[in-house]
Amino acid sequence: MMRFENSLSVSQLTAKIKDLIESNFSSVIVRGEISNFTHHTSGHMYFTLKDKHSELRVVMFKGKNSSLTFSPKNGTDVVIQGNLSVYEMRGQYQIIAQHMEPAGIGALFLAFEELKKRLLAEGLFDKSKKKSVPKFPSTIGIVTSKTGAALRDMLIIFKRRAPQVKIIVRPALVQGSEASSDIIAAIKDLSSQENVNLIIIGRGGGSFEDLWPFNDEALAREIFKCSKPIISAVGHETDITISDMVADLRAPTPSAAAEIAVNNILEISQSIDNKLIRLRNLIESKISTIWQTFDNLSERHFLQKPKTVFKRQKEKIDQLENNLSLSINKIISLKKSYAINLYTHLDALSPNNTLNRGYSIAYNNDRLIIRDPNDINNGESFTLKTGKGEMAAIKKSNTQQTTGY
Amino acid sequence: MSKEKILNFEESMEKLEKIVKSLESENQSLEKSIQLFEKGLAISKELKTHLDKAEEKIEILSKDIDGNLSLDEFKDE
Repeated sequence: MMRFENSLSVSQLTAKIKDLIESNFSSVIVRGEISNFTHHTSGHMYFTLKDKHSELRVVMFKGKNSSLTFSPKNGTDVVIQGNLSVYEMRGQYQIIAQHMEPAGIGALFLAFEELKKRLLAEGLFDKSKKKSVPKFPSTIGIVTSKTGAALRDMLIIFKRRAPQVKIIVRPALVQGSEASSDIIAAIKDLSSQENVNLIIIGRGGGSFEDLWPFNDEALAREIFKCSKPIISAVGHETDITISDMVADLRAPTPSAAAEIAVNNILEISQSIDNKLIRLRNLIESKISTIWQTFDNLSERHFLQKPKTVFKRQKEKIDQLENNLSLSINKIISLKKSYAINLYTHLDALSPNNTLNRGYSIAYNNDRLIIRDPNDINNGESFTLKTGKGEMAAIKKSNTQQTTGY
Repeated sequence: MSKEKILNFEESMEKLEKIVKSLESENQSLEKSIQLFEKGLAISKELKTHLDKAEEKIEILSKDIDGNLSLDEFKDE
């Protein structure tokens, strides 16, 4: 006799089955051919996905099917990503489609979306995890095809913009089934080179399938954990790969990556020049303030006597200006033609030409300017700086009475 | 020695900027100002020398069967 005490109701059994199926198939990708297609007036789509031996009920709700990029029809070969659920009223299981693409490229696209979602959830694209790209890299490693236009384009840009930067090329396959693992090895090779402080990985444009190696999960993880900052530049502006998303910086094209990676040598040079000009203007305005003070005070009759004290100051200032101008001239001699205009301008600004009278500055042993004969004791040594060099000197005595200002 | 300079390019640029800022914002004595100015000159000279070196060095990194890496001059084919 069968025992009924432990029997389940149909609903109970169905609920168990529902639990089991829904928890085990929360995200699946399945491929098949559409049949019995209905686009209901409610906006939802109902159809059967079949292959030679089996059938599967599919529901795609309005909210999801409104973004389809093609019109599904009976007979269309498609790939669907979704979750299984059980329709309890009929004891029927079905897939609730989240995404649907025509098979072929569609399969890749869904795999791409799935990986993107997963890595995003894991935090591989987080801005806070990105390493900062150096402003002035000295050695850049490049991973790309040795024969591709991408490499040529980048090298041309580096040569023009930043001849001072050293480039290390690690050739790699950028297409086909071996490409991802080769790119991973290349990143490892380059990051083992101590002097490399930036890596660019990339290739020129191609079809979605051509760029596929850059959507590889292992590559994404390698980029993420690499100790050196990586710029990813794959295909054209509109192609965005997983590598682009996980890299520390994404460039729309390899050429753009090269432009981003290095500041123009001209711009760096100009930025240094600008700082020099600012320095010079600052020091000149300081000096001219002292000049004015000197002029004001020395015009007063009762101060005529100490005029020599001021004169000394004036001499020091003259000499300082001379030295500055000498230093500037040294810099000028280092310069190439691109910045010469700036310096011509500078020289015109400089009061040195009119002030150059061949005075000297006296420094005490702490390298401070001696402003007053009483700054040092008789017999104390000091340094006298002239336009062409310095000499050691010893103070004999004060030659006239000084006043304390 | 030159290696260290290369490594410090970015830092030197920042230092130079700092010197300018400090001359701009603080009321320094003449001596201090001159010191800062001379330091600024020295740094910019160093930076410029580095830029002027312009080696245009391109190398190729390859691995032999044993996995040893070697660097060779890159030849455009």
